[in-house]
Amino acid sequence: MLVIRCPWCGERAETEFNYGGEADIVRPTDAEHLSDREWGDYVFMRKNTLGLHREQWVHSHGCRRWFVAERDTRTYQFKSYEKLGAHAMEKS
Amino acid sequence: MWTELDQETPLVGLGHPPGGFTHGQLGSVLLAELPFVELTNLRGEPGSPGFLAAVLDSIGSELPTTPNTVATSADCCAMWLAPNEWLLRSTGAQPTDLARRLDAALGRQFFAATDQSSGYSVIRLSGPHARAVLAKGSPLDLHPRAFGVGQCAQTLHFKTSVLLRRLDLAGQEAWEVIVRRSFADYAVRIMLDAMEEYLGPGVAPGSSSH
Ligand SMILES: [Zn+2]
Repeated sequence: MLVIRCPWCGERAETEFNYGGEADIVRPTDAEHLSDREWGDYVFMRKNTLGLHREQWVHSHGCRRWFVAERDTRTYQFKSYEKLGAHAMEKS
Repeated sequence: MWTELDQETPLVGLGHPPGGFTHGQLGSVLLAELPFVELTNLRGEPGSPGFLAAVLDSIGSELPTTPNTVATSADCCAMWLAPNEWLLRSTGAQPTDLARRLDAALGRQFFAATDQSSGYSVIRLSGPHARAVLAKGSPLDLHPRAFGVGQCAQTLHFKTSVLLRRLDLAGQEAWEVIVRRSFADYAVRIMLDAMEEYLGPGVAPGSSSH
């Protein structure tokens, strides 16, 4: 079992969490002008990263907050954690 | 024709004693249901001006802002659930109508105070084996080094989510487990099973007569 560090609750067992897929996917703002291909890309297409992967997790059985983690898909080792939105706030 | 309603707890299937369901011995491990505890869920932004002060005014307790900690007052215990969410558990004998008091005190703040008393069951495990019984179903480290008095945590008990709070009852280690009412029967039955090895033979937990 993995030990995952919730940014609020600290280290908890994997069974308390759910996985939420690739992080940093932004919903297009001009959805009505999108081609089917672009819309399909947003909805369905995901990277299949070998190595460091930025992904979303939710502490379902704990504080129920979403956060972003960086995990190495080869070793399952978590490299970093951040609260949701922290990345966006840094950029702005 | 019925003239009054007989309020029942979700553990009615295990028997129906007036003070709540109990099983075990304090010298080993004792499980006790605390029926009809008043619980209020409070959501709000701790950074919002005046929010924490208004809550303190109305319920007499600080809201803990450190994750998974508890703050207590004379008749209320506030448990951290999330950065903007708390569970307020009344500790007095009488309902204190916390949700209404908060509504009145917080007026124009951005908040939500919801009475959840009938949504949850409150179970207390006490005695020297209480921690071992809980540990069978929880992935958390429950050792006093990691989980002391004044802390709470939402976690799993086997397949159901629970809110745990460490208690100190006159020096005796004890735990309070708050579980959704629809899972209460499941959670308690699996605890009774976990207790069996500490209570010795002949004490069949909640199995035969009901
Ligand atoms: Zn958490």
